[in-house]
Amino acid sequence: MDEENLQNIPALPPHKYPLWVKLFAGVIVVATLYSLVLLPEYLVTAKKMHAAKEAYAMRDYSEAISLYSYVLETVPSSKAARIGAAEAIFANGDVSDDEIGLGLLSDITLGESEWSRITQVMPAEYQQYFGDVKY
Amino acid sequence: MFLIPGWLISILTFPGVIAHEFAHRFFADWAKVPVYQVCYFRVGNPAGYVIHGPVKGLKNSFLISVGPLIINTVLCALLTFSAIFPMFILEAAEYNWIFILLAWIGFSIGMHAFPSNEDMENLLAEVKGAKQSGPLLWSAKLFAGILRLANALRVFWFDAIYAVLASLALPWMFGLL
Repeated sequence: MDEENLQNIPALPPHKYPLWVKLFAGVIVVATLYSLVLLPEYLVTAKKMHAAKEAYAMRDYSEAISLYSYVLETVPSSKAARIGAAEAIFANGDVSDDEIGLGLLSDITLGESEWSRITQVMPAEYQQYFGDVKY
Repeated sequence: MFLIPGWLISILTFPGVIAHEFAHRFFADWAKVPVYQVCYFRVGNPAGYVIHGPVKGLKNSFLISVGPLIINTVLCALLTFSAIFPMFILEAAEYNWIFILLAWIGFSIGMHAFPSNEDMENLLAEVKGAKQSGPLLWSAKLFAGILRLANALRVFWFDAIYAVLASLALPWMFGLL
């Protein structure tokens, strides 16, 4: 549209938006505020998760298990925490808690890389309890 | 390569189109540039547009052209921030539906962050019209070139990759990645 044609059109009043745009913005604001209320808990949990991974990498398995337990208390369905906790439990050399490790892995589907991680520390005799999933 | 028609992507990510046009409109109003027509969303090409009068000043032209990149990137990072934790970092099997809503809105907004090639043409015209030369002209040209390239790479889902990167910015800043 050239400038000549534009001069025949009245300019829109500044900062006046259609009702549906305001409603849309309102939905975004409410959703954001609600998520910000939930954010601190998730942020702390994610930091614990990060610390758990670091503890595992440093072979501090008891610390890793403790941190993963915290994560699972807050987000019981966290697949990453369940796998991480099981990994640390199998790696700690104490067979008395292996059943807990197996329990953490029940009812979840492991990807190839996750299975590879677990089998590095899981005693071979437990591997018979796991089967391939066909899609 | 996985190709989806642009109009379908626009429908699926319509919050991003609205936010993009809103940003143009907001900065045009802010720069006291008359706005004659706004389409926040439609099924067509372009999916949205803002028709405004001549822009005075390089700063105003920059803000109006690049506004969506700033606004959409910030909104994408903020909106997806809390959703990333349960969905991707903690990989929770169950989470509040609000996170799915936030992730969709945030990601859609991030996908529409890039200013269009026309926006960049407007900015370059303003730089040339202002008889700017030297570093400012070259920076504007470089910036326009980068964004043109980004727009061209949309066929390789570069807009989606950008949205993912923008979503990961805050978790990365918090040292969680």
